[in-house]
Amino acid sequence: MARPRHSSRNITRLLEHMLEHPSKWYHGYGISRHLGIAAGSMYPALARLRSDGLLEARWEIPEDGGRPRHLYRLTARGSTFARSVAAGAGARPDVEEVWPAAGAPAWTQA
Amino acid sequence: MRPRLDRVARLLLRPDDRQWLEAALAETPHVDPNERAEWRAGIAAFVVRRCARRFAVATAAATALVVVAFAIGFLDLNIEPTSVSLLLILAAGATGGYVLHRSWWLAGIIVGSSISLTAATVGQLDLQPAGRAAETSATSILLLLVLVAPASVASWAGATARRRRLHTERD
Repeated sequence: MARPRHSSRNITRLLEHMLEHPSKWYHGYGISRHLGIAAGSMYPALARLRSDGLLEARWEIPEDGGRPRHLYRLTARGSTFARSVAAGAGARPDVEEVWPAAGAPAWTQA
Repeated sequence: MRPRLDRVARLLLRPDDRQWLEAALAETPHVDPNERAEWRAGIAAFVVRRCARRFAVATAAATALVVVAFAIGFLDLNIEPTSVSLLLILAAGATGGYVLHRSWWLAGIIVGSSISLTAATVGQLDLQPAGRAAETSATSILLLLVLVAPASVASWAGATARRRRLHTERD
C-alpha cells in the first residue's frame, strides 16, 4: 500500500512549526535547529511541500553584501493544510475537507 | 562539504534537487560552528539519497544487462544456429533500450558485445564446451563486435517506443 506523501512525522512537525507564524519567512537552519531535524531529512520534506504548492521559497540577498540565504513560508494552501494537521492532533487530516475535489493533490490518494 | 565535492554533487543531482543542495550549502556559513559537521553530514546524506534514487534503476538495469549479455554469449556457445543468437541479441537490445531509454546506446553496447566478451572470457579461462571450437583468436573476437550495430539499432527502437509511450501518457 502506498504511503501518503505527507504522512511523515517530520513534515507534520514542520507544518505545525511554520503555522505558528504563517506569514513569516523561515531559514532552513532555523527550522532544523528548532525541530532537531537533520538537513538530510529536512530538505526532502521542504522539497515535497514546495512541489505540492504548500510552501513558497525565495532567496534573501543581504544588503550588507553577505551570502544569500534560502527562505521558506507557507502558502495559503499550506496554511489551510497545516491548520487541519494541527487540528487533527497528530492524526492524518480529512483531506477531502481541506481540498475540495478539484484541488486535491495526488498524494492525498493513499 | 568541500568545494570539489560540492561540484561533484551538483553534477550528480537532478536540477530540481540541485536547487535544494544550493539552499543547504548557502545555509552552511550561518550554522553554529559546533553543529557544522553534523549539518554537512546531513547535506551529504541528502545528496546520497537523491543520487541513489536517480541512478538505482539505471544501475540495476545495466547490471541485469551484463548478466543477460553473458547468458546470451554462453547460449551462443551451446546452440548451433546463429540466427537464434542474433534474435536473442535483438530482443535483449530492444528490452534494454526500453528500460534504459535515456542511455539506450549503453544497452546496445553491452548486449552487442555479449558474444565477443563471452568468447574472450571463455578463451581466457579455457571453458569452451566439449566438441565446440570457440572463437578465441583476437581477430575473431574483434570481428564479433560488429554485433554492437544491430543491438544498438534494436536498443534505439526500444528507447523510441518508450519515449512515444511516455509522450502519449503525458498528453
